[in-house]
Amino acid sequence: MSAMDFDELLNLEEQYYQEGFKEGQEQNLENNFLEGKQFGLQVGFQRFVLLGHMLGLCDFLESLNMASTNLTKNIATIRELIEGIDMSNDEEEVENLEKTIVKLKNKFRTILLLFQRQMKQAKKKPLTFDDIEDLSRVIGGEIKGFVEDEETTDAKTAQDQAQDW
Amino acid sequence: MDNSMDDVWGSDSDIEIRKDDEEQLRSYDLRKLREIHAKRGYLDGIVSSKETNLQQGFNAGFPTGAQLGFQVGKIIGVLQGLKYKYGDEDEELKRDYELAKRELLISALLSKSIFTESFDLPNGHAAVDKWTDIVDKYSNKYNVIKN
Repeated sequence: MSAMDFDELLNLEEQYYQEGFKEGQEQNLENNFLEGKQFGLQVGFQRFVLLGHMLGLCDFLESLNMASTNLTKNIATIRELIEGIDMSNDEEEVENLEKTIVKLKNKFRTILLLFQRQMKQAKKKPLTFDDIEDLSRVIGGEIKGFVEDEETTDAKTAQDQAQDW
Repeated sequence: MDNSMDDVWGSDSDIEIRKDDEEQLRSYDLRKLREIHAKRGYLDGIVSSKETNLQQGFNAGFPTGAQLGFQVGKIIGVLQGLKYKYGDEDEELKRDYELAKRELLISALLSKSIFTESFDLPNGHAAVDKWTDIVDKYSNKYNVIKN
């Protein structure tokens, strides 16, 4: 066998190892980034679905023209609070968001009481904050079962909601 | 991952095969050597610094997820309100509300197949766009002003 001395061989082994290592490391970083991104998508979605939900219901409630200054004022406050929320994931923002959500929920409950009072006159089963929050959590995959009224309890829905998240 | 494994030890261009048998044997040995050590390196590399980049990825995905969740929340909020108020007399609205609750589940909307390989949405989100249009239709019908 021709000339390849021991040192040369060792160097070659090391070189090949380093080539492989670099490739593996790059693949690992890429995998990690994508794994994190997928998780970020999920958590971002879950954290904001209830906010949008409350805003959508505010739009609906305003369309009813319930002629209550209290209601108008509270809806304006809710819009303001939501507008002030940043959708990044900075530490400061996350802390802000938690505080804002508590305030928002309280404001929203007040609005809902006004609405419920009106609906009572119409002899309708009230739409409660729990109904709303539960729906948000089902959409966000945080709870699976959901019973709002009789027609949502069919088997098809239950099956769809049994997906693994 | 399979492809990149091929890249690591499937490469052949830099080892010249000579006519000489001995040389051929040598290049075979070299290839073997490379295969063994590059593989060892690759495996060490892929488990190295496990957590690096997870947070960067999370921060990159979060705003898109937040935006989607927010939009979906608005859709479902308007629909839930309208269905509560008018569902008894508007069959189509009632049906659409039930359908929305299925089609807008996070498991459907964030399904891997909807995104590019790098988890982007270069052309928006078809299902969210579709439901935005449907809600616009009902908003017009029942005078809901979108804010």
